[in-house]
Amino acid sequence: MSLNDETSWVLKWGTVVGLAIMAVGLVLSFAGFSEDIMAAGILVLIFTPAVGVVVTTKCLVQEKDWKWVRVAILLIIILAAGCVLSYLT
Amino acid sequence: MLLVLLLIAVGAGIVGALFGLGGGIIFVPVLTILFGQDATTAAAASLVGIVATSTGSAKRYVKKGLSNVRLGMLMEITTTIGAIIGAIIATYMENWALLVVFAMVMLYSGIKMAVSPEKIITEEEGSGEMTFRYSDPASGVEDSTYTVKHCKSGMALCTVAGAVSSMTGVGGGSIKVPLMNIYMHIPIKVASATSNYMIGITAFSGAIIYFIQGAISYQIAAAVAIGAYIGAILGTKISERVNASAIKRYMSVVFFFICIIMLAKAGGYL
Repeated sequence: MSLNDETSWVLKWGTVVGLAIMAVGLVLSFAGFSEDIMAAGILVLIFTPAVGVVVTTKCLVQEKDWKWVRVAILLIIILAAGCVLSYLT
Repeated sequence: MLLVLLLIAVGAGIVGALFGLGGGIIFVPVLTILFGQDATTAAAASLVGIVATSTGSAKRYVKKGLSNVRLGMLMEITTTIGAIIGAIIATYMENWALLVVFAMVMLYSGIKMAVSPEKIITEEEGSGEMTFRYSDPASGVEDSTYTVKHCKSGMALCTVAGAVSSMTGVGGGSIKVPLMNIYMHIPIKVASATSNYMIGITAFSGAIIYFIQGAISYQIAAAVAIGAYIGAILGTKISERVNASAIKRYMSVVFFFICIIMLAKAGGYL
């Protein structure tokens, strides 16, 4: 699969799985079940774009496209730093 | 109640996916004004909705090569840095002044998009690295090329875009799309599709913090996300049928609308 196909695949299934868990959790929450199921779905959904970047990076490494590998790794570092910073402040 | 929210989110998802704007501009006022949520709950649910709009539409845009993943990642670096800087200095800035500046940027972008024709630079000598291929059948473009111009200054402006959007809480996409289209000469369909891909990454970093802090109202976020996803699917389908010049015309209307909302916010009416 190409870079676009693999990235698209992750975005698609991450979203579908996350939303499916969320929808089931939403319905069950009306029946008195814990809201934790919804929380799991939300977590899967919000991590999907980040996992997409990781998979794209993997594809770039396979393509030996080093210039863009550097860009992707820098992005991952900045994203991680941003998360840590905003968590601390 | 949740069903109404879900339906509104469908509309926001369509607009977001079509123009690469994410939908925060719709989610936040709807949640605070119509549903009486506090600003934090609204912002948190909005971010989850933006992720759903982004991934729901990007999966198709990326597959078709309309979202430029490489360029998106590159510009996302400076956008994220800008967002971090914005979050730090937000407390020292007058919010209304920023909103007025934002409104003026939207007004300028709207006018520019409405009156000036798109300028796409196809193959150029020695520009190989930043030349990409794309197809947009709805606009009669089959396997053409575009060369990204002003890459470095464009990235620097992305820092400003990231800072402004984290300070005002809206508009990551609404600054990036005209920046990419007007300044960097990226075709409008590619600009909005790439912005769509990028806003998911931006929203991820915001949403994860709200999640850790426990600020996300799960039922509201779930309704917004499911609606936004359905809207994003519809938005991408519409995008495939509409040509680039029509998208630009509609987008300028959206920008004028955003300009009015920003001015209303600055004046304390929203």
